[in-house]
Amino acid sequence: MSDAAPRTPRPYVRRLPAWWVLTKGSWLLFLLREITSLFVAYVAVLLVVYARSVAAGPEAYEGFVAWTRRPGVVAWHLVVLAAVLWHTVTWFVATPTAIGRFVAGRRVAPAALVAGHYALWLAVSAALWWVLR
Amino acid sequence: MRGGPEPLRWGMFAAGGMVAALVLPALVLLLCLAAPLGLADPVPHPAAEAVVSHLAFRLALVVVVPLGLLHAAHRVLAAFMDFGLRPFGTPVALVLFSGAMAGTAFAVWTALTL
Repeated sequence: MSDAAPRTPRPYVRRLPAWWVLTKGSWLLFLLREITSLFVAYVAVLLVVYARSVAAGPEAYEGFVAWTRRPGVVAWHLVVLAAVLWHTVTWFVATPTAIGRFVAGRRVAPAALVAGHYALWLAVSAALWWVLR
Repeated sequence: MRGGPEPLRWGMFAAGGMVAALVLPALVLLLCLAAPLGLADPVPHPAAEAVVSHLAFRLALVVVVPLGLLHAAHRVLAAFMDFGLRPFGTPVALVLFSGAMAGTAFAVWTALTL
């Protein structure tokens, strides 16, 4: 053995280029999934803005409605819709891994768990449509 | 709490992700796109007011908005870490979660004054 000073162990950090996420299709999809969270935050704030415009009276509400009708805003909200749909799809796909294979002590097929979430999603969406329309 | 705020952050992330997955596509379609795209008639103001002033809507507001914002804060922070910005983790976390808290305060205040 040499008499070199003992070295303190350091965690191994894999060196990657800053653009690593763009070098593979599946990593790009991962990035898109993570970015949906920004759109989730946007819709959360928009919900408060909508509620405040309604509470502020017919004029403020008409202002909000007119804003949603501007072509650029419609295009933007189509992008937002695509993003939150992507969030929903990727979230449900992950449920068998995140929740596990057992629900209330019973073994559940992963596909059944995903299908159950889609069914719940359709029910919630229908209820919201019925309430808000 | 054992392990600091980490388990709580993950819990809020998961709860927010589930709530967002269930309600946000329908909300975007209903509030922002249905009328402009001609899928439905615009909601007249009295009907919208009846919904917004209902206790159930206020409760939904203080659940959906904070959870959605905490979900986003956690996920953006995790993305920052993945992109090699770990040394800046603490200031970034501070900014993100301060923003989420400000949005939460905005939602709670709105729910109380609607």
